[in-house]
Amino acid sequence: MTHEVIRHLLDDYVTGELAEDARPAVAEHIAGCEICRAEVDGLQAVITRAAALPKSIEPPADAWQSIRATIERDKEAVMPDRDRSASVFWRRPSAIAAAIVLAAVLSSAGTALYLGARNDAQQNQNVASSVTNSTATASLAAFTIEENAYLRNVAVLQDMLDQQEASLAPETVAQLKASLRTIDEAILEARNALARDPANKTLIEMLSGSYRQKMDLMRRTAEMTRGS
Amino acid sequence: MKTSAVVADTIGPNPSTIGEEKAAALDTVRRAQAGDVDAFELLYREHSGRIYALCLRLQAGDTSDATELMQDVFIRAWRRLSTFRGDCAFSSWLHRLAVNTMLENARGDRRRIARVLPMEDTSRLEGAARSTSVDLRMDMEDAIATLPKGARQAFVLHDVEGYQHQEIAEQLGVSVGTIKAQLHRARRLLRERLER
Amino acid sequence: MLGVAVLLLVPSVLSAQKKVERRLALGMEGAIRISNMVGSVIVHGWDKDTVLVRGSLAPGDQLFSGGGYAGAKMFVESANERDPKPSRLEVWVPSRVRLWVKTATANIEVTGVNGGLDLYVVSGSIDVTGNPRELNAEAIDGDIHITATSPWVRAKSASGTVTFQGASSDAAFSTVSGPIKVTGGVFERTKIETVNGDITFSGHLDRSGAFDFDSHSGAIDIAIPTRTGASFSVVSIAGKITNSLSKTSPVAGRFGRGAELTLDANGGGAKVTVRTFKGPVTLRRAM
Repeated sequence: MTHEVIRHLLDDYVTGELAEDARPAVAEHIAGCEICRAEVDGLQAVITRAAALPKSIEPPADAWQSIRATIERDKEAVMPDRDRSASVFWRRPSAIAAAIVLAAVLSSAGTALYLGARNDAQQNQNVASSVTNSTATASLAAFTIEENAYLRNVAVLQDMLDQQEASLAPETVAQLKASLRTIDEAILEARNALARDPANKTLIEMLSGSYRQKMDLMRRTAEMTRGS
Repeated sequence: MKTSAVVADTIGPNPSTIGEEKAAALDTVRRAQAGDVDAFELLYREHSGRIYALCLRLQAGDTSDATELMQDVFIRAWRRLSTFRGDCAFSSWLHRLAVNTMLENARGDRRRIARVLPMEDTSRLEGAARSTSVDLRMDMEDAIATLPKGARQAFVLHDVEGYQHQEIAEQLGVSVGTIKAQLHRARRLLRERLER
Repeated sequence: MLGVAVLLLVPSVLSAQKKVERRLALGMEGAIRISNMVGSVIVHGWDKDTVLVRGSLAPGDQLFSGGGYAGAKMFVESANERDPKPSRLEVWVPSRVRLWVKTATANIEVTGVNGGLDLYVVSGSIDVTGNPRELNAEAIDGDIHITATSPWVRAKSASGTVTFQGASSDAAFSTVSGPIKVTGGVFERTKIETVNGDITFSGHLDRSGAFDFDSHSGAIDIAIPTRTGASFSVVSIAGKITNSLSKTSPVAGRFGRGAELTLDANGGGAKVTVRTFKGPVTLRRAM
């Protein structure tokens, strides 16, 4: 074999991937060829150093948090065919049509509660604070905390809805489930985007907003079906 | 994988110890597959170092890109956990997933190209700095980061991680000949940069 | 605290729809709760310290009412809870009372009641006209239509439409998939959010106001009057921004998707923040 041919075999020769029967010819050539010898030495050095690189490098300490948050959210997402929201929440969907328990509506205790509760509701919904509170959750760390709170609240609200004795018309049930699904799909999309871009404050704010919307819808539904 | 590049993770001469360890590892995977996030965290703790190293080198030393990629890999791993059947080591499955994820992300985003270490900054390549092994390693990592993408991928996967040509070609969706050519190019460029 | 005197009506054997009429004394600053699940509830404000209700009840339904001068309540009880039939209530109340109405599918109409309004439907519609000092309207899949000026307004529906024509210093409108249409002005603090409904806003913005528009995939269309000063900050993760207010072009967002736009119209003023994941955003002049 000529020098020109052997030059192209040197890589495989060094890495041990060259066919057995070609090795002697290459070895012999190298012994007598300075250029090829230098080449082999250089290749050997690179390859040895590459193999000596650490196989494992410690990732940033906070990397796991974001992964965990995404996984927890995945677990909580209400997917279209998820059993939980289907059978348990609407216990008697077609048996009772458009019925709402009236007894609880009219207790005098309920009236007093209504009159007093109005102010609290108003304070919670102060637009001024919600317009400016976007900065509160703009950091990923703060958002993770908020997200965990959301996951707990959603679980509690889901239990509440599950426990309602009363039921709604099937069309309304379907409409409500569709709305929750719409919000969940939006949450999932934003989450995926956030996983690719964890420092994106806008995404964080959007996700916070979606969480609030979902909780608000569940809360108001629970209140409406419960009577007050 | 070539044995020379494989981390000796089967250290332990006692076959029954190995068997126990393997069984325990599989058990963790199964628990994670059943939805146990804490079990998945154990898997993360065990494998994230290797995956992060791979991501860091594939992403040309950019730590935030590498962290993002690594997070993507684990999220994907969680979502596809049910596809792991135990017919290979979990680390191999995860590794393969990491390479696939990197490729898909690279296709999906029009990301800025890898940061190139400015060659004017030769302070770390001077002879004196080479005396310690730590600095030698730094030189190598930096040099890999300067490689063009195709060459870098082939080099990291073959010479650092120990995949075979055929495996790499399959994963990257190119011919074995292309991989060999990229490797050749990578090694030449690295020699130039390291011997400066 | 409230003495509740409940009056029973003896159902008439002959009637199909049964007509009822009642009067209750109620102070001008009092509170009244009305509940009717199916049919309609129409409320008018007047300047007497009396509540007058005229009802047209479904066969077998009964109207219960009671209360004192500070607070009153009335509700329709269905003959058959499992299959309630429509009953209609028309009520006149002192115009400054706090009014609370709850229905399931019954529509609610309120005119000229200027105290605080709390209106809840599941799938009925809510229509409000007047100048309430506070207005909270909630529906699950009913529509909400408000023609009012009120310092404080909240209107939420999941899949219904929300329209507001009027003015408010503190307003928030929210849907999941229903459209939101807001016109009029002047608005001071306004928050409009949807997931995939379309938002249309054309109103007068107060110079010192703050306006938030949020959507996931719903379109956002903002039309501002020609000489209004406003400072816009628009961020879209994956959608398109169209600016007809000025020559400023949106800049491409990260990774080449989506867009961002910052602009001052007429020297700036009202702070308008628009965020969308992938809905199209249009900024333009009001006609």
